[in-house]
Amino acid sequence: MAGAANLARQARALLAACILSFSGAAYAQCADPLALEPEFGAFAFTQTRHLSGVRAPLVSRGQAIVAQGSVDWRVTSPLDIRTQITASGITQSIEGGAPQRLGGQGDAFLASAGLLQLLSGDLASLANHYNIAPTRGPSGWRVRLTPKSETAARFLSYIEAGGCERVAHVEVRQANGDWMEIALSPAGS
Amino acid sequence: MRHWGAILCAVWIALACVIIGVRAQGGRAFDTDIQNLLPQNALEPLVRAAVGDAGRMAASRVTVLIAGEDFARVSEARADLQNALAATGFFAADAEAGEAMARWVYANRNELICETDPAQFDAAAVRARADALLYAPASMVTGDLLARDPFLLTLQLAQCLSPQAGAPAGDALLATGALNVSPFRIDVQDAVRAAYDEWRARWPDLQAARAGAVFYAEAGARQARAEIALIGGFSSIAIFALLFACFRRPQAMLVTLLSTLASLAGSLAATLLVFESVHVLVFVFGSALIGITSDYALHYLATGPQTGWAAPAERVKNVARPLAVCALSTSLGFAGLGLFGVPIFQQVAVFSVAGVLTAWWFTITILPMMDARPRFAEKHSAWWAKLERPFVSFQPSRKAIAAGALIGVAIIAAGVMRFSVRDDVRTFQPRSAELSAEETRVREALGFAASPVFLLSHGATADEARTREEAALAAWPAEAARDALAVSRFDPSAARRTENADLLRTQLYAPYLAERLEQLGLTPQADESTAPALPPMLAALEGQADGRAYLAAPLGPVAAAQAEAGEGAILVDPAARYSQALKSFRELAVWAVVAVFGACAMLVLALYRRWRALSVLVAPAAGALVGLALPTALGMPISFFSVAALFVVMGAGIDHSVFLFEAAETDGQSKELVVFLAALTTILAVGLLGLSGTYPVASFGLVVAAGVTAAYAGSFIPARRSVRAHNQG
Repeated sequence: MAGAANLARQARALLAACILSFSGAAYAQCADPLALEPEFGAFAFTQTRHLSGVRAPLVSRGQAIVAQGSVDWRVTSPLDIRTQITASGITQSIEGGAPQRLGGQGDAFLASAGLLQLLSGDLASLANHYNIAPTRGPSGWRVRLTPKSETAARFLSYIEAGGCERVAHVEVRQANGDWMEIALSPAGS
Repeated sequence: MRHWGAILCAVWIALACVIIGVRAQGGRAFDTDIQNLLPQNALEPLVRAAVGDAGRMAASRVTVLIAGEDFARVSEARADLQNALAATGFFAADAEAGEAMARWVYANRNELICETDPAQFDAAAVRARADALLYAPASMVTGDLLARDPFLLTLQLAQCLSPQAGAPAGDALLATGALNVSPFRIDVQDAVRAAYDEWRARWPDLQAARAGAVFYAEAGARQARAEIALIGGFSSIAIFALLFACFRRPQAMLVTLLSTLASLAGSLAATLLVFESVHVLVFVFGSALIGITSDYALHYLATGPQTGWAAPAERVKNVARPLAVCALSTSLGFAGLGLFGVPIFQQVAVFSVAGVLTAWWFTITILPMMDARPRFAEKHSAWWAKLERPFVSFQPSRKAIAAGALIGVAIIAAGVMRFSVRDDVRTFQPRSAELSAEETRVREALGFAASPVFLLSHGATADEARTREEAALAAWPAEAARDALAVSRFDPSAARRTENADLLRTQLYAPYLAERLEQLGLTPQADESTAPALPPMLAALEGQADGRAYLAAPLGPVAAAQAEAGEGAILVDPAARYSQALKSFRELAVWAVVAVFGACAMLVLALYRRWRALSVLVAPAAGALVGLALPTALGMPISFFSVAALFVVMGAGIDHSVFLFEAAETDGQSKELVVFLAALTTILAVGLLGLSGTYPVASFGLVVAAGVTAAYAGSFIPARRSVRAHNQG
């Protein structure tokens, strides 16, 4: 029995070693998250919002087009919302209506959250706004962004971006415990 | 008797020093608001009060754009700046104002709508916007808010009720807030400037751009102080050098200095007694007094070498009557400035009349006791006679007089040909190029340019004023209505509140609330908040004047371009109104000059009781004409301030004529040299005002300098007429 038990232990150790070596190889194939080249183009996204007191997560889908200096974030389901972020400001149109300029704190949050850099994978440039803490995982890297600004920290605990070759997943944790996750994939994949 | 006069004069001067010392302690005795240059009684009380409210609110804003390589440092620097400004005790950051507004909107959300016209209310749009807030990226929705405000009206109203200004993009941050006191107080400016400079020294690697009236006012005050030092300092040095060359006695300079200081003490004390605060530009205008009031001392001092230092009573008798005529006529001229309803000119009038009368009083009471006979009196008399000789012997030929007249006519003709006027107050105060460039950067970062125009709505009650503001905004296109910071949008009339609440209840809550709660699986939570007071930012835009309630709504450029405002509401452009008022005051001032001229004629006739005494008005008339024409011929347009300067020209012109006329009439001592000295000291003192960077001061100075020069030349005419009359008699 003891021999069988030893054999089982050795097998588990061997399996663990295999898994570790496999995952290590997988991570080794991932790019350095802080050295990603900015990537522009179209991405499909699924945004899932978890609000306290709301029975089910609020899920929206659509396509984001990231270009040099601008983001065109278009929700197509469950309704049509188009948000355009540029250096000169943020506008939003609902169900094909005329674009309205956004103001107030939402505007400031969108601008300072660095959505453009986040989506294009330019994580290193976010160091001005956030304390950056990268970590390794079995399937790639994760980078936690904690806001440096007291104003942003009043409603945002942290943003966590994950991926391997590019940002594939974003999680936003609000200060009151509500949270949101966004899954990104190249359009058409 | 004169001793009692001297004692009383000394008591007044000592009292004046005490008044100045006490009032200067508080730091509120002096103000620098350029608006105070403008005629207050030109606007109807309601508009004036609203202009004041809107102006105070706009002027109290402080904005600093901070940018740098490291966002963390930018963020830290902003917090540091806001703390430093708050530590002055005069500043509150916008975070507090923003929270007050948010609490108000949340508490009133069920009686407010985004649309300015309730007929345009669209419940479907409200629901769509609420969904957009749920599904759009990074909106500030929380579960707590959704449970209390299922349609997220608070967030929607926060977006639509006030004019939209963007947030700076990239690594820049704005430090914004408002001053809780006037930015035109010198102590406030100094405190804000010191806090800002110290903050810049702590963060030298960051870029900063400022916007706000307090920074412009501080720069303007600094310029005014520099001008006071330049004009007052240079003219004093020049005058004392001239006096030393003529009198060759330090004592003469000392008593002239004391006479000037006594005059300044009297003028400042009287102004501080009459007015709550004195505008700093009063001192710039008032520096002209150095040249005028020192003349009185000169006239008395000249009697020393002329009489071989006769007894003081005799010397005083020689100058008492012409001095009294001069002091009265000059006071009359300056007092005329007070008739225009322009606060700064009322201050200049009090300042100048008090200064002239104090100088006159000092000259005939205290000065005689101080100017004792010098050791080498004969030598001094001989020197004076030597200096006086060319002036006395100078008899201009007919050709020279004709040439002088021709030059005068040519100047007047050139002035007529190049005649132009300037009434636009926006061109009066030079703006700091550095601050203008910084303000442009702030505006570019914000993507918003505020307009000076505001919507004034008024009514018998505050509710009626709100109703009229609502009607005005409802008649405008939505984009224009949204471009106004209007009280009624946040705090509507009672009727509009009821109408809004009915709309929300019948078109939104009744048909869709249950469905939304079900859809989201929400359990609605009770609203525990209490109704807050109207936020200070909005309360400042509401007031009462002339028995009527009014609202002043600052407008952005789109709203300001609207042509109509409807019944009980008008679009007010303060600068345009003040410019129009200055135009009418300029036209009125010309008639006032004529009226004062007439009053002086009557005064001269009453005192001298002969028609030829009217010839003393030739000099001021020539001074007034050339004083206006020469700057115009040189390309400086005529303004209200140019015409106001004619009062000083008339006062000085009459002074010179009266002394020469008196001397010719009474066969007394010659006055040619002392009148020349008096004219030169006035020109030195006032002509330098033409160097001022502020247009009103520069135009005032140039007109006085040109006018007094012409008046001096013309002042010999009455004496010649008098001598000829005597010879013929």
